[in-house]
Amino acid sequence: MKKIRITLKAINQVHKFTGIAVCVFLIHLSITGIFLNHTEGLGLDEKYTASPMILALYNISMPNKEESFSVDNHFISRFGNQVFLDNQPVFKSEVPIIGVVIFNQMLVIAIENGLVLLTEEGELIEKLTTTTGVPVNIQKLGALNSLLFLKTSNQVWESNDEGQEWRVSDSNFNEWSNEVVMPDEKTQQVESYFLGKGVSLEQFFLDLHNGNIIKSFGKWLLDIIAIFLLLVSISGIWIWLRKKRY
Amino acid sequence: MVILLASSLYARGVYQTDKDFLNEVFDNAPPKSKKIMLVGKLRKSVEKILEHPYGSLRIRYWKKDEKTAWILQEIGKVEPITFGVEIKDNQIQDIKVLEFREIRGWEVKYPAFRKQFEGASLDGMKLNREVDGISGATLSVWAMTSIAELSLFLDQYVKNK
Repeated sequence: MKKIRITLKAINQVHKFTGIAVCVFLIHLSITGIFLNHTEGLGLDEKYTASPMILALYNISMPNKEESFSVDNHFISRFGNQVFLDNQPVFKSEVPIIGVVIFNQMLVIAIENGLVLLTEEGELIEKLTTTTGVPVNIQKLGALNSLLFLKTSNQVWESNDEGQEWRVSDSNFNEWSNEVVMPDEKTQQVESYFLGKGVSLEQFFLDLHNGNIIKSFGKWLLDIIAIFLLLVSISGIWIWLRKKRY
Repeated sequence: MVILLASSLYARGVYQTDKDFLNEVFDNAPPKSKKIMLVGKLRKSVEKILEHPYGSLRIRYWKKDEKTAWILQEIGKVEPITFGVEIKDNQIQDIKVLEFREIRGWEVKYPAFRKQFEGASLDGMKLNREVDGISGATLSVWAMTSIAELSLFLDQYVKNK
């Protein structure tokens, strides 16, 4: 059996490589440690970052803006599957909003497969579906005087009892609710629902320091660094003893 | 892992449409729906049964002869579960899960579990019997029990109206 000889050159290589890796880690640990040591002085606990890159590390993200409508100074919008009345979440919908009108002091929101009735404060009154007689395949919603109008693929329907019963309309109604562009200021208000203030810098530095920022991989990385620390210590002692002998 | 994922996907979904449920309860001839507004004392009573406000201000029901049908929602853990309840002579004839949106607790849909509710009525504001739980589906069991109590209470309310 061939005897494995550990040469001083090989040990030197191990010491050099692990030394550099540990050195980089120690620099990172020192810098983040200094910041953490002065958290209060630097006000890191009161400062927040909303950088998309950092928020992504915390799985905090803003869903896509889908549709938005405006009625009576209110904005009704859908971000992901969450529907908002201004910046207040009101209900969830996987399907698009088709139109919004104010009717009898209620907000009537049409979605593909039904109507959602809300109070002007955003409280849910009822969801009306095809089971309760709402026509299928809604494409447009409108209101005029005491009538609600719906346009489906081939017909226009009207209702005079808050959408409970529908009949085919022979009117030439054409004032349908249409999408609008939501002002940036309103969009930012909704953003704060999903993103909050962001992540505090104190939390960010703490997670950088202890490796949590890269989730479970951080734990494994720290294990590798610990092994490197052992190797650099053992190889250092080995080299010192060998040099002492000669 | 794959089995867990598959079972959670299997759990979610529409088990029976509202329309099919009503056709089943009323032998393919469901009556027109009626509605009640949850206001004043009624709203407070509903809050007492559920231990929180109901999800909407208006509840719809279907009534024919002595039979009423209710389609109601209650949160399981995070998402609402849609239940269909059939009541006759102040007793539950059947209670079903129509739509399940959670990833756990779907076992309440099984007839063997639902059978416990058959014939149940109200004793005060509570069911007149104990309902055996299901391990891992506690919140769904609570939701179904609350909806059973609520529908029986509302059935009494509309009859005494």
